[in-house]
Amino acid sequence: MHDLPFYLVSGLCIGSIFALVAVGYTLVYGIIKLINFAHGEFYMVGAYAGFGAFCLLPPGLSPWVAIPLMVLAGGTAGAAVAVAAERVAYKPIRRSGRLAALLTAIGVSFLLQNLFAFIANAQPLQYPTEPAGGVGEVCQRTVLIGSDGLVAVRFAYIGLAVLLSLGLWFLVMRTRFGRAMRAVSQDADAAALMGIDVDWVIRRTFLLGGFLAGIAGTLVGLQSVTEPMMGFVPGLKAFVAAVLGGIGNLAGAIIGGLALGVIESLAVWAGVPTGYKDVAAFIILILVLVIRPQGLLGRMTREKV
Amino acid sequence: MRDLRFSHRWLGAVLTALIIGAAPGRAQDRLETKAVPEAAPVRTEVKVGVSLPLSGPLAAYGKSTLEGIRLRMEEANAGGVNGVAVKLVVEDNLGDATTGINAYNKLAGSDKAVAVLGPITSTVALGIRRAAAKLKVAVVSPTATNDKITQGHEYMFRACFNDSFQGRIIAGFVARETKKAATLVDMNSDYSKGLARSFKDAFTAAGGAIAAEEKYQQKDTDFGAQLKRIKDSGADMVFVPGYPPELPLIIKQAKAIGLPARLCGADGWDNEAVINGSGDNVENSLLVGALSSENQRPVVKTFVQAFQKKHRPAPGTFEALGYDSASLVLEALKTGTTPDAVRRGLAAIKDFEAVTGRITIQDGDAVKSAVILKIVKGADKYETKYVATVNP
Repeated sequence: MHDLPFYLVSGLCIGSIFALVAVGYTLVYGIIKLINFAHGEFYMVGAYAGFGAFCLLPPGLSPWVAIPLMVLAGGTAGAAVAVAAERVAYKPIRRSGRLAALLTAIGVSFLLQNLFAFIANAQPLQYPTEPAGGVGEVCQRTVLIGSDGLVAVRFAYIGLAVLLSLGLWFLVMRTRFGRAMRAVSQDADAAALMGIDVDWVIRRTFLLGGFLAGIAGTLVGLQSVTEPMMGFVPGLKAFVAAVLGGIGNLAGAIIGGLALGVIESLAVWAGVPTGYKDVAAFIILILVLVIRPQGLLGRMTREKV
Repeated sequence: MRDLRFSHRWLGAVLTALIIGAAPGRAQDRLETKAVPEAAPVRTEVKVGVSLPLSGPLAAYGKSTLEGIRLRMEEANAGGVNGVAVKLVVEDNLGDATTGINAYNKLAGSDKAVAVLGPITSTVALGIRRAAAKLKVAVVSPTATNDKITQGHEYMFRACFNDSFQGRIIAGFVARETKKAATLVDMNSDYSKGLARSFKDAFTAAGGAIAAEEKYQQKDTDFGAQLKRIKDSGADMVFVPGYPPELPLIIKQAKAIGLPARLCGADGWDNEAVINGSGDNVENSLLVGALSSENQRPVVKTFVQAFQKKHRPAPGTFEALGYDSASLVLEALKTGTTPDAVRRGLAAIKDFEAVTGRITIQDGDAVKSAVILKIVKGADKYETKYVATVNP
């Protein structure tokens, strides 16, 4: 019942990952009101691309150069697959109603999972822990919190999440693209009439969300496993985080992600059996939805009739 | 608007086709149903079904088992088994219970197999009990250890020992070193749960105490919370009955968090993905195996040599049990070539000299010895070393 700092920090680490993925959910939802269930798969594709980059890079390369390159490769792949999914699957049915879009998203999710199970033989991949000084070994190095070790890479989650969130805030609030995004989010038809290329904005939004998810996937893959179904649970949790924070709200997604991670971790600290830590997180979600259906930071919108 | 709608339909069709085409479950259709060279055309052909996870996280185990099965069947077909040629029909069950039932139904139904080898995991094996009672084609699982699989069922057999036995012997070895142990269990796996229960029973009976019982879910990637609790409990040894991909992560993360307790496991550990995929924290871990390739019995020597001629590394538990389950079916085929004769043949097996020990089938279970292995650092990688043999 002690060691609060350890649980808090490890909760923040995993929460940062949820936040990075949740941002993509919320951005896409904000723009086209689509709950993109394939978003967890962008994360998985990112992890695979990171691993692919690792295999292609010369083995002697310093991990300090290799890891950023791998993360970048993961982000790029996530962005590419997100844009491709939008182009091929979502765009043609954009006006067919939300149910059709939702089902398509689930279809894309299955497609990507099975495609990677097929290509990569569904063998879970792990970075080799040999040789010392290589990427795999460096990613297993630990930092002590009290008397307990925590893998150092996880601190990078927090750092990157903060950095990318700030970058995103700047992008959305301070650039022309951000203004266009906000305009489309408010009223796509009116935005189009004002000369905003709505398709371009949507594509860019997917690109952004996919990029962040891909980065998150690579980061997690670095110290755990890369496998075709790895996106499912984080995708679900990130969706919960986005709803918790108020779907469509950027700051809400980040706060929701961090909160979810910390709640899960603190539940264990408080004595909830470890097998049931997810239950604690979902109970909080239900409570929030009962008390504040729009989420923590969400704004209540009335349906226009 | 009309063109647009047309293109939707188009796209839908393409997507559906892609999804169906890419599903790994379909990949099984393309898996070769490899017939082993037939010499004399006079022999009657008998089909033996094989249901293994050949893709997915347990694919490594499925492939190891299949190598053992293939080796035995090739030997048999070259030598001739009282006038029958055995043809293997292989299905990929993905290590998934539903796919496992479909695979069994196909093999026992439309493929008309006389027996089915596999599944290798307990959850999938438990899932096909009802189908096996209906179709009346015997199942011989090479490695599914959950006690309930064979209980009160005429058509379920296994070539391995069960969890009660396995849990008891590892608990015995752990109890020699410490009286304070913990368990870390996969709550989605019947194998893991059953084994943890028998470990706990035997360990407490031996005067030990379980200091922490932690659980995780399949697909978890972060075990920090569980390992932290185990660390705080002060346990000296942790029993982790699991499989990859979680198992190597648990072993690595135990080191990361600074868990002083030594980890130990069961037959699921006897695989390269665990022994050489979990970093250096595996050293000195104990596990239960079906076979030690250092064993000097003639059957074992012949098997190890034949296996190494075809494949590079020394065979482990899964290869050996794949081989033995095939041997059991071949032995049963001497009774006759109908599914019923094979079932009767299997049930009557007594003192059969198999690679993993002398097997007597009793209520579907293989009564035989097990070995305790220890993971040690070899010349360039980790390997298992024989510690002791335990008889039932």
